[in-house]
Amino acid sequence: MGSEVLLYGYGIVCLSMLIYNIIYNIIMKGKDRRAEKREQILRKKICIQIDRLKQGQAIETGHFEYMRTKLSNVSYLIAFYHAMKNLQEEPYKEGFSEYGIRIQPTLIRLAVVYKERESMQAAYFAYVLSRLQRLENGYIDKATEEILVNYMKKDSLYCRVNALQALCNIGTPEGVFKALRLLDLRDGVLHDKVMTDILLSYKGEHGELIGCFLKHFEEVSPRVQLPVMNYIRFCSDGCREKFYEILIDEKRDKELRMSAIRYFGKYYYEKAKDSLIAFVKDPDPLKWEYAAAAVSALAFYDGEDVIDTLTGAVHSTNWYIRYNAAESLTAHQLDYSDLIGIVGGTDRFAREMVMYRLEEKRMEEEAVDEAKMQEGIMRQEDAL
Amino acid sequence: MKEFMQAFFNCVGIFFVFYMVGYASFLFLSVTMGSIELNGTKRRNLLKNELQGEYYVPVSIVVPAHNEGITIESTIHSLLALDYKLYEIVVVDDGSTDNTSDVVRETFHMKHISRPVQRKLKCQPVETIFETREYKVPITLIRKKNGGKADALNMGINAARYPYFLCMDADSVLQRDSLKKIVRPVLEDEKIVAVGGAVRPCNDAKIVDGQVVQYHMPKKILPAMQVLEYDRSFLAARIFFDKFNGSIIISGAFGLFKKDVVIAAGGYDATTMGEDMELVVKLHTYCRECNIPYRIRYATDAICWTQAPEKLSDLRKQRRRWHIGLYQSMMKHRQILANPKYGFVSYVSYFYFLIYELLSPYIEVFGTLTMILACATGMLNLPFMLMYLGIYVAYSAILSLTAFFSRVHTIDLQLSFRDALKAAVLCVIEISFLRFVMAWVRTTALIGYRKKKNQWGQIERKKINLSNTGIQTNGRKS
Repeated sequence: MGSEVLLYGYGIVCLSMLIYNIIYNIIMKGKDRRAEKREQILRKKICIQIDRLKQGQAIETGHFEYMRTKLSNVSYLIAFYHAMKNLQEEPYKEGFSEYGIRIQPTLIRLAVVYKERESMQAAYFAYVLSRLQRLENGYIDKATEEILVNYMKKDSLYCRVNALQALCNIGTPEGVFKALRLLDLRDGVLHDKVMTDILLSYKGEHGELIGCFLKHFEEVSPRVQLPVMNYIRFCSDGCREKFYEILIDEKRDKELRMSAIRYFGKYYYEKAKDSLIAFVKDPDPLKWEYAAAAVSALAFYDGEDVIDTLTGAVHSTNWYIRYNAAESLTAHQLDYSDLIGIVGGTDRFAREMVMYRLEEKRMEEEAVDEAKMQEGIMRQEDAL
Repeated sequence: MKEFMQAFFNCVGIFFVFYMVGYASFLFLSVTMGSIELNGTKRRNLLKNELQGEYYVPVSIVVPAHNEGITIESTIHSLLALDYKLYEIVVVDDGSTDNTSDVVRETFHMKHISRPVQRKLKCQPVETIFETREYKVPITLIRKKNGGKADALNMGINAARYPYFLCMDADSVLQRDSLKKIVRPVLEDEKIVAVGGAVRPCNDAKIVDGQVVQYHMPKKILPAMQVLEYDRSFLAARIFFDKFNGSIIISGAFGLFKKDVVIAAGGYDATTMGEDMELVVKLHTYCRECNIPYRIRYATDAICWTQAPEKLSDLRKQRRRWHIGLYQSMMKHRQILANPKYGFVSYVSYFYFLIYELLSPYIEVFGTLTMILACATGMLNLPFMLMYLGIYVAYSAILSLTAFFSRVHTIDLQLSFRDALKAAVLCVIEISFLRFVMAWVRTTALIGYRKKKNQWGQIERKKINLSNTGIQTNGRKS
């Protein structure tokens, strides 16, 4: 009897869910229409103001108040975002930019409203901020920046990501650094790839941001130092000395030293060459990762000592060192005749690796030539 | 004797009541949780609560192929249309006897290359390797001696350049954003070692440039019924298991794995037919034994389209293979059962698959035989039996429909009136007919197991309805 009651109970709940889903489907269709209507209402209001701006008039004061009230509701905020996206097209393109700048203070002040909201809404608000234009005359006010920094305390990963993105869009270098430090302290550090990519999207002067990071570098853990170093690698060749210090410091975290090796694989630094060679020649098998990375970095360094090191590395018992050494050797524009010692040698593994790399390089060059030829043919066809 | 029989039938009756209550409870929890989760995902998508940027990790897509000459070209074209920054395609021809290799080589202008492959995982030797750099990503074709799907996957892992690999079937097609979406959990949590995607039958669907432009319930009854089955799994059960890090299966058609963890765990087991499930269970075992913090996730919005068998004979071969694979995986990792070290994986996931997947056909056959015996001895409680069957059919049909209707919460699937009506009719037929046919197939799956355990059987393939407006080849359009 009890089991029947239980099953009837389950059945009733499932029937309810079924009915709920049917009703939900109907409501969603209506919801889409309501969302469109909201967007149209806001679009109309915004277009009126854009027209005023085009005529040299100011935006109506009442408009800011209206937007402040409406955009406190996340449904209208979504509608506003979509309306702004669509207004970037003609015929409102001309005045759109000016309107975007004028409405920003109103938007930014909504940070006070959304900081108290549930995470999803707060994350959406941060997302909208991350899409704003960067103001030419300065950054956002300190209070608002502080609110965005404090988003790093939120449990929601997306809130933190969107807020960090917003800070990189409209915040100060100090604000961005504070956010990273807060993430570090609260053990909320994001995936290093995500953090590096967010930092790369910084809309201000990268030099200023890098300067701020280097000033406070030791205040954060390697979990934050690593994405910062990766970011600097993509942005700046002006930190060679700092990265060299990290490279030769044996007490440093392994990933940081590896990042420094990769930095010198991108930016030539004569002083680093000997250290890179030393990594390759280190007989400790536990340090193979350093050797593998250093061998790749040596692709951009010249000299007999480099070629000798790479030639020796291609005979390594470690697959990755052999693989990277063969790649670096081919990057030095060496061909079969230059590598005859390896190609004709007795080390089968070294021979196979170098032969493969030479074939691969030829294949890549042929693919590029083929693509250029096709491009040329297409241009001729277009011209005809 | 009569008292003994009466007591026996009473015990069987009680057992089946508990059995059904357990199954009903699981289905109920999974369907409700699935609906809630999908609704949450849709809302998160609307409010941009997801990683928006072009974040990525490099991925090697491994496609094992055996006699897939009909579908392999479509599959590779769909992979070339993926919207993703850095990946490679590794096709492993596992000793095909048809023209699989020729199709790939000629269609994609591949050239022979002497590429050394590091054999970290044991597999059959390479025969030849071809590569091309003419397309937006490198494509590698490895032809090797036949060793089975698991063996081919191990070869693909050995040849993979990148730290993550995606395994997929050669008769499946990914959407443009599938790779981006299955990688997303990895970027959100570094502890994740594997992510499963959602698999949907693509029978009668039309896919253009990696986007589904036309999708309805398949016209044929058999694949349409399988849609209901897939929805119960991918829109309900898997979401439930995912909540508690209890997923013990990731579909072999679409799964992302962290390469070094898979290699350390020993890779795919070439002696089992259910290599997909066996690997996931192995990852649970390996990570727990080695005290590695880990998570295995399910990405509900990462979609892979696959062909569902349209003939009953093909469906039987497929389900037979699945059941043998399930048996092999469960037996190989039986130390998980009732082991507190495995937590939810032991007490819920393993237990569910043991009772309601592996043993259920035998339990159901036993139930049927008991009913016949009770009828023969005049001890059948007919009202109880009819009520039991009626509740079973009605409840299962409602749950199937609820799972099917959960698609209103998915971002991309629409629910049309025609599909809803078709689902309502088919769910009753599926529960009362197909399920019993499949139960019989699974009951007999292990007969002749030792002799035929590694035989996959040939399943008819159809060319997938896939259109391309053009594929860039370093400036060249095909």
